[in-house]
Amino acid sequence: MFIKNTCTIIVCVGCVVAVMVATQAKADMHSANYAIPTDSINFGGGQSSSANYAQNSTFGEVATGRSSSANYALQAGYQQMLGASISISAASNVTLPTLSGLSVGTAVASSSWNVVTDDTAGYQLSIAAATAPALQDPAKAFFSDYVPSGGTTTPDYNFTTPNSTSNFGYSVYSPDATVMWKQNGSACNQTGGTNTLGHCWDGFSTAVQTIAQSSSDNQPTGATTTVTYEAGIGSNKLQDAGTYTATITVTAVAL
Amino acid sequence: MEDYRFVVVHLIAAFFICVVVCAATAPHAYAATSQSINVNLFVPGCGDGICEANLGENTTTCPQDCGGGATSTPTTTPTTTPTTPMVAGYVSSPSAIGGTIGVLNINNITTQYQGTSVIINWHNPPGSFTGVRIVRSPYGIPTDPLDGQVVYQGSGTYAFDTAGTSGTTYYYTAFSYNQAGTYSSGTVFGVVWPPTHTVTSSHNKHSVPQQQSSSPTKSSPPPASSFPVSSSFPLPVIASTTPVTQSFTSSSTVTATSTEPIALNQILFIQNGQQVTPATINGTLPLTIAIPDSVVSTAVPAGLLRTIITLNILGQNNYYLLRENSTDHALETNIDLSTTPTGGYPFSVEFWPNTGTPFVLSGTLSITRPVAASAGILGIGLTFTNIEQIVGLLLLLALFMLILRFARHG
Repeated sequence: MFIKNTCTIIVCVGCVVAVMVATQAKADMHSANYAIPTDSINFGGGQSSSANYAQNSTFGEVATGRSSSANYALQAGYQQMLGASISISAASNVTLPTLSGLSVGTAVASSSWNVVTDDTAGYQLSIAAATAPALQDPAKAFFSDYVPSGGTTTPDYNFTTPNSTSNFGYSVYSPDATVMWKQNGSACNQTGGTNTLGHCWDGFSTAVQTIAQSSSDNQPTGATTTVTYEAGIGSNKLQDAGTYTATITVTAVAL
Repeated sequence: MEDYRFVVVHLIAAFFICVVVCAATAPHAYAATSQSINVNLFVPGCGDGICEANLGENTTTCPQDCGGGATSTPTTTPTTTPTTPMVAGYVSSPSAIGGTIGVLNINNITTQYQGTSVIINWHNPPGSFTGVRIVRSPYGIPTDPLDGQVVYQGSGTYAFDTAGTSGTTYYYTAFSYNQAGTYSSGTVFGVVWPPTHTVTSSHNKHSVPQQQSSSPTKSSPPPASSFPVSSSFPLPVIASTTPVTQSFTSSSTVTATSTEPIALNQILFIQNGQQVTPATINGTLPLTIAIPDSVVSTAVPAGLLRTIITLNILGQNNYYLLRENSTDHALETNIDLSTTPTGGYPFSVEFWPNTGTPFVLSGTLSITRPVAASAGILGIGLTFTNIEQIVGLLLLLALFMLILRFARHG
């Protein structure tokens, strides 16, 4: 009877230890120069292949599978970690300050997303509008999509609205902003430039546009990207009254 | 041996229990990789569904937001006499005598079917003209630049309207505007939307219907293979209620009556800051036609839903909407006569009260131009355009005769 109880206790303790080891494994396997992204406690397995297929297998892993909390996600087990995880925070709808349709003016607002990934290859964040033009009202009146003077790959340093039009654009502020959002004090799309709030403006498109990118993992803090929206009405433009809406989708992809 | 088997069984059981527990505590909770949000922007004004008194909206200036009924049902809408200015930015010009002329309306509007589209042509006025904004509605005549769908905005002289329901009558108002954003009172016209079948004009009866671009283009004139929509647009509201009509031959001899509470001589005709009569209109000057607020408030206490002046120039009707002036609340319109030949042209003023029977005043607008005289001297044709030149010519002739007389008699 003593042996039975002892064995039961040993097995259960072993399970708990295995879970704890798996939980701590990721955090423990970094050094200044090296990292072991995945590890496994097992008693067998390895690579096997045929002419058309290959597999990596492990036998005897314990405490495998996925689990998560509010801030973290765990994929325990060697094979689990062959896939990268990425998360993006939720953002609320944004309401721009009211603009008068009868006079010149601009309205600015912003929203932010935090992207966390354990992918050592990094991530890519892109943005797209659901409609063209992006900012429309139900009667199909619209603000024109912002068109930079240098073309869509070179945002304007400052947001401008021609007298006879109304327009709607955005700028990007992020530690991982792509080069087109970097400026040198007067122009954007500058390699080696800096990324600042309120500068470098482009128009939305239904085509996906990459706005931020990194080449390393960033967990657990992630990287926050802020998108600033601006709508303007030119001095000779009479904008139809109504409620205009742009549906914007951001997508984070692990590389 | 029994103990060994028991241990093995327990190991296997514990392993599967652990697996089950781990699986049970592993909700597949990958965070989503995409997020969609809405970016909203509210632009207030007439047509937003909110009656905004701070923008000057009331039952008269913006009935669709403030109540007051549809513009096509003039007898069902009780309201008060307008006492507040229209929305700043698109009022008309000061109409007071001595004031300056404001933005002139476009005129000579014609419409033609072109396949499944309608081509709208017009003449732009001189002066402080920047562009024209044309709006339309299937429910009634748009009464301000924010009322209805925008068909065209720009400085061109024609536009395509490509979207409509076959058989539906659309009412259009064209508001010209200047650099400051001031709008004219509006020129009205209408189109019964074309059928979707092939154009049956004799000019192109074998042609295939062509779909036109939905956006107006200024690159080249539209082709002429089309037929008129209507030579004279009958305002549809006239057909629903027969107005009381009386013509006046002289504005100085008429008085208001119970059925025509406004007399023709209460309507102001203003040119160059001076009041003129319909019989002495200078065709080289813009014409302001205004009805003082005091006249309207006294004669039509319930207020006017709509007032339209029809001016028939050589068989073509031009319909001008009268709108309230922000300065003195008069109803007024500014008309360009620069292309109108000298002659007498019938006009009528249709009043549509908020309650009661509509009534019409009519008369003749006599347009004259500066004196022009021609004389031939020594075979050379000379044209004189004012009296001073004619007097100068006579003096020159007298001097010439005097010289001849001295030459003959030494």
